[in-house]
Amino acid sequence: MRRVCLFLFILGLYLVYGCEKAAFPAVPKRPQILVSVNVKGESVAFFDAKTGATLAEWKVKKPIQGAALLRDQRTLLLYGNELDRVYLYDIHTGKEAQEWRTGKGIVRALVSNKGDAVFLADEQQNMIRIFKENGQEAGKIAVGDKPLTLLQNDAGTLLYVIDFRNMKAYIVQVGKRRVIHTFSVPKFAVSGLLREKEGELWIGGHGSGSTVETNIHIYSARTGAFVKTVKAPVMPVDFAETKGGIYVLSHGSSTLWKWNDSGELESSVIAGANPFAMIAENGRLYIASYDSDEIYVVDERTMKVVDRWKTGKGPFQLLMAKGG
Amino acid sequence: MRRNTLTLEQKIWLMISFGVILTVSFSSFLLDYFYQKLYVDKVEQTLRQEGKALASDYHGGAVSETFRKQIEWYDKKSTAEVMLVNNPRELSACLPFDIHYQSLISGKDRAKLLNGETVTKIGYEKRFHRKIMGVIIPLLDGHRLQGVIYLYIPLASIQELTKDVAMIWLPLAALFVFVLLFAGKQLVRHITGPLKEMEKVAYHMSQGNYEAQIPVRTNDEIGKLAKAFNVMAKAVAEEDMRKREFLANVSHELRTPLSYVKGYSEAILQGLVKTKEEQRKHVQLIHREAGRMERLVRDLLDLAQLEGNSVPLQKVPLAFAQVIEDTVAKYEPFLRKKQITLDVKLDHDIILEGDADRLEQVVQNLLDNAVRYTPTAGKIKIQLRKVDAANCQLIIRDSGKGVPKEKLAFLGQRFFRADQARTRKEGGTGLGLAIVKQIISLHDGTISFFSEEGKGMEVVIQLPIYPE
Repeated sequence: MRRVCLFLFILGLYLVYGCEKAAFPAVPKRPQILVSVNVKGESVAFFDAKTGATLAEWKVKKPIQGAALLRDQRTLLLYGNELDRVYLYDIHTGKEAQEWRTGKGIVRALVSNKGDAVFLADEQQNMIRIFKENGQEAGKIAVGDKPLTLLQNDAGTLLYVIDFRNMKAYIVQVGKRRVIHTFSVPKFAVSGLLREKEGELWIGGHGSGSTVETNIHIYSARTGAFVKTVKAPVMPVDFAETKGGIYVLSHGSSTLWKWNDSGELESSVIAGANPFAMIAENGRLYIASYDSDEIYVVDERTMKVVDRWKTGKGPFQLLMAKGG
Repeated sequence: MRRNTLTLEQKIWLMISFGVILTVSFSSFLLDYFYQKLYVDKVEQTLRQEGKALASDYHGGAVSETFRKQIEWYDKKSTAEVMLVNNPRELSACLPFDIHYQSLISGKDRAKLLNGETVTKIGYEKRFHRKIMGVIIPLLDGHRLQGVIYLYIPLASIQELTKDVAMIWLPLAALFVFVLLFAGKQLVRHITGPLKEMEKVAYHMSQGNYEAQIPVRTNDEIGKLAKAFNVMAKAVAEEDMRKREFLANVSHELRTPLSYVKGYSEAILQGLVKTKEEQRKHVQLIHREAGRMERLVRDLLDLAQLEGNSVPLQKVPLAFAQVIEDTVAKYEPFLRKKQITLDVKLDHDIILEGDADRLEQVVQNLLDNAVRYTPTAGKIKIQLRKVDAANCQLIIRDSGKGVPKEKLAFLGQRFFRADQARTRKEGGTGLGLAIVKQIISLHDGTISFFSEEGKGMEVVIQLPIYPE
């Protein structure tokens, strides 16, 4: 009888501990926190965006593919197409806040610029799924095959979905939950830049087969009509636009390209080793160097590498948490 | 359970065959392994050296057209295929994206190359549609994998070389195996041949034929076994002969007194005896022969008991001198009658562990003989003395005519008499010494005879002293 009691006690302990939400080191508050999602090392690293000091590193030990910051700038949403749910953590406590049982196949998350919505791109259901910040699913919009890229207008009323496989892009009216335009894009197109004022949608990509993409494809943001290509070899995969100009990161050549406002190529710099992600802030460009496990910091005006910070293995996405 | 039906010959041969085949296959495996390994290693080393030498001309930055031309030129001159690959797609640069493309360099290889390590490929490569032996040298600019130099040769050329070796090796190995197996068979036959002969001889012996001998050809264990077998066969034959001789002796010894008894009693019955005096003489003779038969039967029984150990000795510590004195006392009338001088020297401290009756029998039989063969007015000497702390000797010496030297060895054998003619007159059974010998041996002692013809006879008995 005593043995049974002991067993039940241990089982109980196990259940209690097993059910307890994982907790990570709390991230101290800073005006700007750079978040680096490292897919190879399955970790998330936090840096003071100004000084480069490492604030914390979370060993998530789950196959995460990316993250998104909710509007509160402190809830970090982690997803991965192999995970059957998305995890939401409060970065300042390190504790898990929520879990949304979405099922497997989430390949992208975007927090809406308008109101209480998070867009999750689901490659299994081939849907853009809209969740409220409390985890309640508020709607779905059917799109292509692998909706890997999500962009939105400033108002958060239009969603641009670029499919990775089926050579299509969709313009979605969020309010009506419907696709209003579909247009063709190159195969393995990825990432983009919506220039609302100019009415342009810049789309990058990898290229198909053994041919590598060397161009940026520019489309009409309103109709999706093809406008022109701009050379940015090799394999442009991330974009940023600031007052200083338009910046494009090409991972095949590890090159950062800069165009000025008038659309002229101004300069380029080799930055990082096989970099996949870039984020602009404070007059700097933060670049995730996938092969060297570093964050490169480039001054956007001089286009010089000003700093390099060591991060976890395989940094793949960068986010900026502001005003914490 | 079914008995194993394989013969020893088959078993040994099977063992040898197994060993030979195992050895040959193992050595061929080793040969193949080392050949492949050494040769392939050599090729790999060469490719690696060439690749590194080529890569040393790369000095960072994007791969230049000049460098590409240089590699292409080298490719034309070299026996190996040499490629410069700088397409990021082929280098698995898009790895985190699922782009459905079989890159030349896998993600794993890329990780190695990024570390500055070279990658070796042995086996089938989908891209080249064949088996290759290849080496990939990274062209690194810091952490940037700008390209790789891929050097390879088709494995077919290596395998052709091993095929050549196999062409020579296989027939040689087959011949080797065949010769070894044949030689093994001969060897086994040579080893087991004497065993088969032994089997045959043993069967012959079981049917009473002790003459067959196994030819001893070698001096090894089998040869020694054959020798031992021959010795055993001889011993069995001798034993058999002794048994027959013994039976013949016994019947002979019994027949003589029987014919006396029969003859004299017939004479009496048929009334051939006239006087009372004569009749009495006849009856006396019958009585004497009956006594002889009785003694003979008693001695035979004694011997049989002693040899078969059916009546165990009653061993107790006893004073041997006392036993001898008691026995000698019984002989005084006979000694006096034959005017024999007796010289007795006994050590009274000697204690033996023995059967008093049997030891008395020993002394009695020996004295019987001594008195019997010592002529009138002769001399008998009895001596009991310590030889060392553990042994004592009883020596009985007479002044009779002794025994020829060549017959000394036979003393103690049943029915052996040194002088066949004399026996009847002297009246022994021919078993006395045999009994003595047996009793002494049961007391862990030894008996030896010393004699020169005409100068009497000395019997020396050595017995262990009872440890106090």
